[in-house]
Amino acid sequence: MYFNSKYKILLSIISINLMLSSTAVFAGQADEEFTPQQIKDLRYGEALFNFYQSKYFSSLTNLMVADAQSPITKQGQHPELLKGGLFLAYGLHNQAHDVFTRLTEAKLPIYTRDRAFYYLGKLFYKKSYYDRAITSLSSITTTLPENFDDERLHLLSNIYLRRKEFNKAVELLPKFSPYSEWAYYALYNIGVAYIRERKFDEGIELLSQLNELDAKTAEINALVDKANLAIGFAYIRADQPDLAPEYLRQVRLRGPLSNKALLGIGWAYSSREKHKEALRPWMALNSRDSVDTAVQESMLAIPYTLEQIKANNNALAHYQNAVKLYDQELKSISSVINVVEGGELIASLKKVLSAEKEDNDFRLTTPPVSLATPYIEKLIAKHEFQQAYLNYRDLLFLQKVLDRWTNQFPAYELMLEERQRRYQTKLPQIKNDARITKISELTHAKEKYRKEVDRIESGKDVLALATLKEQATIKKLSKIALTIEKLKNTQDISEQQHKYRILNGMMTWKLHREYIPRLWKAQKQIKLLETALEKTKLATKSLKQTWTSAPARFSGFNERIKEKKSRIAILKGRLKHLLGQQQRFLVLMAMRELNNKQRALKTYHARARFSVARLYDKIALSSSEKTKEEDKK
Amino acid sequence: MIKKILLNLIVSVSIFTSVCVAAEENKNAGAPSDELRSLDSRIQSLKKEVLDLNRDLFMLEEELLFPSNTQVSVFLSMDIGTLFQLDSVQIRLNDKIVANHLYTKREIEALKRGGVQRIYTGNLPSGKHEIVAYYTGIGPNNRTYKQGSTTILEKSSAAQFVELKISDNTVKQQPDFEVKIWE
Repeated sequence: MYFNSKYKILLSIISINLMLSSTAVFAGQADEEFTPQQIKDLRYGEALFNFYQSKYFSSLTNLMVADAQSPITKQGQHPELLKGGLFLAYGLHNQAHDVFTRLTEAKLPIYTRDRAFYYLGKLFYKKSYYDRAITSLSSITTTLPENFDDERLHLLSNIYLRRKEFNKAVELLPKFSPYSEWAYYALYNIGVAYIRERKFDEGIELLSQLNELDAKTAEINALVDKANLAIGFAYIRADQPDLAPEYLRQVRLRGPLSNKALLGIGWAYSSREKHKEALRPWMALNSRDSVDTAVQESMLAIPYTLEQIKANNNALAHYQNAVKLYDQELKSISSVINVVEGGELIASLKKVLSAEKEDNDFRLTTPPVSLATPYIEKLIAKHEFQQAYLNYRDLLFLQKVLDRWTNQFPAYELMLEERQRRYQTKLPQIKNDARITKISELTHAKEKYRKEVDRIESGKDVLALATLKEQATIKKLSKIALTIEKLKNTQDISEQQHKYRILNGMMTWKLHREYIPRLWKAQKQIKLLETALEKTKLATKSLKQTWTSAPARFSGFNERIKEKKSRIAILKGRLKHLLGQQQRFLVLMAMRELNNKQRALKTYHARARFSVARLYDKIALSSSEKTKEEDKK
Repeated sequence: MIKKILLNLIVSVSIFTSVCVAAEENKNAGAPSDELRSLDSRIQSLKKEVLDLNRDLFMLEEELLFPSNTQVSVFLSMDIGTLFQLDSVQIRLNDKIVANHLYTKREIEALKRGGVQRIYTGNLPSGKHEIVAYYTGIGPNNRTYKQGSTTILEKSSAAQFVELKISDNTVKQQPDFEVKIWE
């Protein structure tokens, strides 16, 4: 139960603090940038498929493999833009810089150059090269979609704020598109920057505009809360505390900032010595989770105020309560420090990560179920911690990748061994296969047929193309001719002679009529034979090449596997070292936060105890004075 | 003393306000500390090396398992996809099941945005082969919809890509299942 409600609060903090981080935004904006387009190269489509599922590592791999094999050329500059964006999102700034610089320097359509300048500007901004970021972001013409352009303006506005060029930042505000969330964030940032510079009127005026928003999303609700809180505390700092409660009351009671708001309302009244009014919000804080700093602070503020209205006994009881609570909290925080040092936080982070696949949402959306979580909520929401967490998560993912390949190698090696064994067994069989030696014999036969057909054609040898049946008939006709020749002087065979002439004539006519198609058919057969023989020769050649080159190929694969294995071993060593360092860094950050909290608690504790002692003296003194007065009477 | 406590508390409140400001500026990835920067740059360098190695291994695996002369890959894409909600696809190659895929919401979204899924990669000798794809899902009027498509692939000695494309036929108000052989 505790975690459920706590998670909601933490998630809303995280979401607002990371809403504008470039990596998260890259994925979100990509919906607009990489809208459905005609896929002309399936490999680009595959990269998009992974990208749209936030599988950035796989998507980058798809594009890098395509580059190494045969670059994708049919999709314009989209693959390059995607690759640059992925490099940027994956934190590979140098690679992203190379891609975008190349795109801005090439003579490309304005559309592509604008996008390249946009990403390059973001990159320079991330690296704090503000001059170069301004140059890139100002080189963009008009082809950016609304959301991109709003982010561009937001980045420019932030740069001007860092340079304390407030007017330039304010001048950008009307340029945002209507209802742009980026504009709201810019408004907030400028307002808060003014307040930081003690320009309260200007800051409050801008922040008040956020109050007029019809906040529909959790992020905007949280932003409005932050604006109201900032206005409230600005009024307190500007010595106009009477105006603060109106804004602090608008902070949602169940929101993550409600405790701070209640604390602020109390201080606003207290500073005008409206002690009873001050006590109300602080008493409300009393029932809230004592892990929160605002609640802890209120434990001292209440008795302080009671003392101001001379309710010393009541104040003493509250100071005593505070001492008890601080004792309890100090014990809790000590045990949390021990468990964090013992690795509990890292174990809980790992648990969150193990539930994820290659799911690069680029933020810790599920807070770790750790004893430390309630104490380090603010830290978890900070960019530095999130960055460290992302790096840690990326390292664990890289470990998975390297482990996967390591596990694959035995199978590949076995496969290669098996292929080599089969090769050794089959090679002699193939070499001695009669079909291979038969090719020259067949070629020889083909040549013989070719010459024969040529001879028939040149000599117009009609008889040579007669079918077997026709040849038998011709033979029979020849015999008949001989018989007729023998008998013609002894008897009257004129009828038989006539019949023979007809039959012989028919045969000759048929052979002449069929000669051209038969010759064409024979030549076609020879051509087909030549093609088939050519194919067989090529296949044999390829077979011979394969058996000759196979040993080199096998050893090539073996060498490549060996080389990759050694690269993996080196990378794993470095990875292990970096994982250890990153874990220590995360723990160190948590410990810093916990130690700060512990120090603050110890101070409160000492002050509460001192106040208890002081009040005991005060009460004792006042009662002894009372007794003396009564005695005098 | 009390005044001092009050002052301290107000100071802590002021600090809180400035923390608000700092947190806001951090939203856009503020300048990291040197400590983080150094570790971060070493991590980025490792990431790049693992990415390069992953690419090399990916290519090695492909050459080893699916040489280009026998390689055949089947992809699935979706155009609009409002008339058919895809649940699963089964691929049969020469009457043998080679791939079964049940789609997640996220995959469907990725397909609808123009992503193309590589659903199968395998080896085939040169010659004619039959590829059958069975699609199941929800069709028009929320009815269970099953459809099959058969294609004869003439495998050459180069790697071949087959795209199964689901699109909306607005005239017939029915989904279309096309097969495209990529050269």
